[in-house]
Amino acid sequence: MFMVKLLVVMLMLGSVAFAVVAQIRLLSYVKKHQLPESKYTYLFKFIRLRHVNALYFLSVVAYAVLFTWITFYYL
Amino acid sequence: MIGLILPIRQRKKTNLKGSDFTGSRDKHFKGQQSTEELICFFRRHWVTVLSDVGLWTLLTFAEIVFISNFGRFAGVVRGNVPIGILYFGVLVLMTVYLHKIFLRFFAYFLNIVVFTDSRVIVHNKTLFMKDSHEVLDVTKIQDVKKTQDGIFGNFLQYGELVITLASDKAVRPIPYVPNVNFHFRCLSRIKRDADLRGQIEHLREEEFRDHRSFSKEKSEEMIRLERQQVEDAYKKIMGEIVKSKTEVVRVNIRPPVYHAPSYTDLVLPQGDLDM
Repeated sequence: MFMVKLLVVMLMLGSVAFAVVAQIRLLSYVKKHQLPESKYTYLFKFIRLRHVNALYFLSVVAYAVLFTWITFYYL
Repeated sequence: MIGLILPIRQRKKTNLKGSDFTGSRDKHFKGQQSTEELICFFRRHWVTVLSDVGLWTLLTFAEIVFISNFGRFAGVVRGNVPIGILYFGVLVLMTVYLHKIFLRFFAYFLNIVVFTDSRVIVHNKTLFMKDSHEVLDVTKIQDVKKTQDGIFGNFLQYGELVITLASDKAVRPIPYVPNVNFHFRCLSRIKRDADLRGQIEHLREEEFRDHRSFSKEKSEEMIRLERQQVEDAYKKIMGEIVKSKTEVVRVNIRPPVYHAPSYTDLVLPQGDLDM
């Protein structure tokens, strides 16, 4: 079971690292493309890229923390 | 700087790129030219990410159910290595799907179509896999066609813009254009303005060419003047004086001195010149 726990931790670390790399790439893109946004260019007329990005980062971190905790608590 | 990608209030900065020095160069997007003006841009209609939203909702629901009920079947997993490996496999799949769904959301925001006063730029990009630009010159566009098929397309006001190029009759469709009527009108106006600008530039070039060159009458006069210059030069050798290239100065020619032919006899006094 120790091996499974170790794999889960590595998976979650990899997941967070991937999210960080995605943030860096997204930042470099957004710095180059500062387009005049309006409600007609948002997703569903109110969701901006930064909202989706914040949701992504929170989801990944929460997912990693929760499943690491579950793995160590129950297994 | 992090406020660009996270919902943090940003400090307003003076935009140095928009100054007169650089014009509009790279002002709104990388590759914008100094004299290029951004008219509008759009992303695909939200109906293209509807499946991803549904998948994300389903995944979140599954995760919540999985986490909340994990205590019930934790005893089965505990100490059982094959079930533990299965648990790990489920986690891998859920992690991959989580990232995949959000990368599709990002692709929705990164895929843009930009209308400027001289170009149509179709930028297809994802965060990791794809980055392609397609640039269509507005003056090369022959036709723009709008199609809005289906009950959803008409109800949600999205459709397809089909751009036909003049050079090789190539067709470039842009699917899932939101508010397709507006963007169709916008592109038509851009094309008309570009045509007008082209005509004005053509007229200016003609005017410039006319001012720089001579008309037919002027050319004949110039040829006559040049011929006269040659003749005058010849006459100078023969005993007349040409004051300038175009103006002939008539000279009262003294009768030749036959008795004393020397060089000093050919030099005329100043008073003999008729201006």
